[in-house]
Amino acid sequence: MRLADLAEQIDLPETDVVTGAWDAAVRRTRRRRAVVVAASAAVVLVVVGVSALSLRGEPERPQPAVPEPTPTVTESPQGIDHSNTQRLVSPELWEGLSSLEPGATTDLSEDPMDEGVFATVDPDDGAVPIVLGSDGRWRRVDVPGLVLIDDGGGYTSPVVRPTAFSADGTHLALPQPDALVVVDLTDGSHRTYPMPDDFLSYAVWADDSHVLVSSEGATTSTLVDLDSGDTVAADLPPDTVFADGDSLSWGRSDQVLDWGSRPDVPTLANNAGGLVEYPPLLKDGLAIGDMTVGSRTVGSEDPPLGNGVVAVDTSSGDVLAYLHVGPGPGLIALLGWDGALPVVGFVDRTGTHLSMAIAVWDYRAGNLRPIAETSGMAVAWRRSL
Amino acid sequence: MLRRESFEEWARSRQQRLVRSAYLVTGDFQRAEDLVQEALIRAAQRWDTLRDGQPDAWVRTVVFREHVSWWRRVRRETVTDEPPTGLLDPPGEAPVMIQDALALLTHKQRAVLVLRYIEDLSVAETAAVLGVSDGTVKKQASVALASLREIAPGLEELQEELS
Repeated sequence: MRLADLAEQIDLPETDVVTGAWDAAVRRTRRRRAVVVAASAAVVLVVVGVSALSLRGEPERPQPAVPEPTPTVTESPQGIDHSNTQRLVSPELWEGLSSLEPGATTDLSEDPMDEGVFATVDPDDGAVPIVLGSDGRWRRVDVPGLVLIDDGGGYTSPVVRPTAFSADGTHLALPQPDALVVVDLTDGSHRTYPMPDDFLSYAVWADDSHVLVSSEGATTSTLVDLDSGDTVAADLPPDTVFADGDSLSWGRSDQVLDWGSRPDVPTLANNAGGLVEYPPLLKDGLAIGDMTVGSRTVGSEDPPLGNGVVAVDTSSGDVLAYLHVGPGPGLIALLGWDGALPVVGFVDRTGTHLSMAIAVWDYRAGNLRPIAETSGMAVAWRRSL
Repeated sequence: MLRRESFEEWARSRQQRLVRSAYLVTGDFQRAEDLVQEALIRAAQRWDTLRDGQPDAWVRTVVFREHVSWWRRVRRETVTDEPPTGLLDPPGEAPVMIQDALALLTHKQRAVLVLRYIEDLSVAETAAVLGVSDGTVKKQASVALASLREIAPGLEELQEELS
């Protein structure tokens, strides 16, 4: 007997996924056209505005102009028992955001920068990082031979991770299938640390001269000495991060969360998921992790999956706050820090907003301060301009 | 025939099989229906160009890639009550056993097995659907079948594929 024959014998209920599909497609097409029309109108307005400025002889300003954050506070939905659970994402988040898109770029090797503040990838080639310098200009990281991050199973992702920037913004750490590549943004040079067939997925700065690397599914990680090139097997799980000389291992800790509307269903929170998968970020006794929440039981009537970010006190392990989008369409990604507060990105999977909204999460006050929007999905944020 | 009628006639003739495949990959009937419905909505949006092409292959690709996209976001969060260790409790009805055994494989392995041995696609076709290399398909299929042999030895009848 063949697998196909057995599969045919599995008793499944009758299904109807056709009814309504056509109407949904029509609605979706109309909505997308409306978004395109609105975006085109916005572009026209911007062009008109810029032209007017040019005609008045204003000096050219560096791109992009990121406005001062405007706090927005959205009430959490009723019925959520946990006082530290926040759900602040709303359509208003996208309103009035400046677009953070790479404009004209120069090659980094010919036009180095003092420090990088924001990184994404070339929209046409996820293996090419594009970095916004503190001078407001974009550089293309022209390191030859860079390839997409490869998990060794045939699945790839863009080369920029939220942990790419060194603390001072002068270097980028890029995991590669067979090496760690560290780019010096101040002179455009790079150094390759061979790690054959390790299929690196994570590169996290431990301090100015060490990067912790690991692979998907690995149970340990490796510490790379950037000066000597030595690699030391670290007896630490891959979700380890460093702060002030101390190490922290956090994640998959079975934090039980409450969905509020379904308090009878226990859920697990893990340090995984999101747009890309990466270790938590750590700073001044605070760990910010990207978390996905799912149900314990496959196939049961559990709540829909959702994801979010969590703030954890590294000394006590207490969850200080949890920001989530679920249940429902949407994704949150952890992007970096802005001062002492984490920067997060939101994707509206309904298609109403086609970009990622970037905002500072004030986990203590329970609000979001929108900063900008970008079409890039692989993003590292270091600071505002 | 009107566009809508043409689409719905085609979709109704395919939906049960599509949902079955999606269910085998996801292990979750609701999720399987969601995946297939999403693929059908996208197909309806471009039915004018799809109807004279290969809508079956296109929708299958959307279902599997959307699933891959989904599990990449949530890969570690969905855990079973019991960790997947040890053997399944034999004996059992073979369809139930294969269902349970598939649930113990990784998402990648399950997707490859379903496409290769249930949808009867070639290595190249499976690779094209999943957007991976032929070598990856071969490797994943080999590992998946080895895992099935280990975790479900009761499936002795599956000589053709498990040998």
